[in-house]
Amino acid sequence: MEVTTQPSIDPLARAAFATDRTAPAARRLRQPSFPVALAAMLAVGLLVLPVTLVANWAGGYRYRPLAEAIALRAPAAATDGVTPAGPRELKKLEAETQKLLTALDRRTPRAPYVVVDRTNNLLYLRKPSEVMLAAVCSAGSGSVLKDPAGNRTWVFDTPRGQFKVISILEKPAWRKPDWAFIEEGEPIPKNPADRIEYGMLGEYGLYFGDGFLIHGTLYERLLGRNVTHGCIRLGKQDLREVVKATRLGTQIYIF
Amino acid sequence: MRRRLLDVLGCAGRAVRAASVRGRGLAAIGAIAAIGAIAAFGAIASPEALRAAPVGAAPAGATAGDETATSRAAAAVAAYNESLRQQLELAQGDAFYLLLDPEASVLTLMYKGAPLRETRIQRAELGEPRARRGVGEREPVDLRALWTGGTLQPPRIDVREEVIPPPLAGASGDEAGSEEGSTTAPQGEFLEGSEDGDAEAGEEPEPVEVEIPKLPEELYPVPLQYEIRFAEGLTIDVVRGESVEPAVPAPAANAIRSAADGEAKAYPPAPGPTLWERLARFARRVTLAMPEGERARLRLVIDPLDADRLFRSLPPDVKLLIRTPAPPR
Repeated sequence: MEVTTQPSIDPLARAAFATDRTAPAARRLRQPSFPVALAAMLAVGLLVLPVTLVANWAGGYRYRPLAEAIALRAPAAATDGVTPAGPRELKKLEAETQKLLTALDRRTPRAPYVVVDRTNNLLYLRKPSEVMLAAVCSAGSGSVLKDPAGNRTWVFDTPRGQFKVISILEKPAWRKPDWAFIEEGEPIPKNPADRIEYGMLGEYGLYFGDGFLIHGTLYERLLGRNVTHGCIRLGKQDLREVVKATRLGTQIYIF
Repeated sequence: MRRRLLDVLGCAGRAVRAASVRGRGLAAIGAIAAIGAIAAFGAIASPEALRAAPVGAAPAGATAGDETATSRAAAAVAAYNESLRQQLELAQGDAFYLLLDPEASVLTLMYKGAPLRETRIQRAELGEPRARRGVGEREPVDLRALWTGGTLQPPRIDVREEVIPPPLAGASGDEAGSEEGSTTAPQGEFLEGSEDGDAEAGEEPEPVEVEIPKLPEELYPVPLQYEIRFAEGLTIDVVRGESVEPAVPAPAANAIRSAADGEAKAYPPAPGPTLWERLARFARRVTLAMPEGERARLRLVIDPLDADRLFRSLPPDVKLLIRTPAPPR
């Protein structure tokens, strides 16, 4: 009897033999060459980049003049859900327009008034449609002083809002409050007369309430900087012009 | 419910079929349908129905063109009146507001009806997204509405320094109006120069050396581009334009500021958005996402000096009204 035997190959050896046969191809797939990889990256980049740029452009805005945009919408709004109106209704509406314009006009100051921009340190003397004087001033520094001896805290802000001239002083003298001494490290005088300081506030002072004043200064080189404790300082010439144009009751707007 | 409906339909179907067998049911149904159609047509075609339906249609006795023009004129006047009413309401209120006039190209800061500062606008534009975003139709925004709660983005940081005083040497005197925990410092009292005071006030005291504080340009650097965002979804993009004479003339006393500085110099703008903010903005654009809560966007191109001043001095929670132009007469 003829016995045919297969060649005795160890299974592990067979597997190794099989692996060896396929290994070079698998290695080529898992580890592409550098030029191929570079080409692939460039291709992806060239594909993604324009898409991103287009998407970035599409995500932006298209601008057109606001006046034109409002005008384009107005005719549509005029007939959109509006009941028909005759000449009588139109006259009624026009009469209402006049009433509203008159009411608005009453709200607008007629006499010159003072406007203070406390952040940019600018003061304007103006009327509604005309600026008569634009001056550099100094407003409150916004700094904070705490009394080391007690619970008192002072914030040196110029207040925001609408005020009016309550009194006009010539060569005003200043009766200093406590913080003026605490800030300098000086003892607070018991005699009230020792609190008074002369000549520091210029030729005039426009008092507008709550202890605030528009006044002159010795430190004109500091004008334009937030340096005061809340009052508003002006140069000598500008102060004269403001005082000439204002009177008791003149409105002061501070923002 | 559905079952009952199906039962009813089933009965009706059986009835029709039964009637049609005899040949008379269908004719009856057809007749009923014809009568119904004629009645419906009559209702639609009646003069009353024709008159009631269209909006802005001419009433009887006038030409269609005249009445449409009158209606349009009335609507324009009504819109203008509404704008005036809003202005009056703002003038009666207690808040600062901006009045934007696209025709005159002016943005005015106002308070209680008084114009405080005009800012000339070089260009005012309405922005529309280039690509449609989101799903569904966006409802049109009424620009003439009142916009409230305006805040700066990036926000302006208010600089507050604390003054460290030297220790007090003496006992405290009278209060002079200061209270515990007070905020804005009262300035004391002011007297007119008396006879005694005149002798002392005659000579001006010598100014003492003081530390020179920073200018507003140094305290509040302004970004090259900033936004004013309103609570109702309007964003105003403020862009620096060409440098021209500002709406309000620069004060001649600017020379004093220069003297304090020494030579005039340019102040650097505030640092721009961080890398993360830039990436977030880019991602939003690329994915066509709208900034959160934004419904409309305006762009204002302003003189650089005016743009800087607006940033520094814009009151908090400012309101905005876009003025409706007066109708032509």
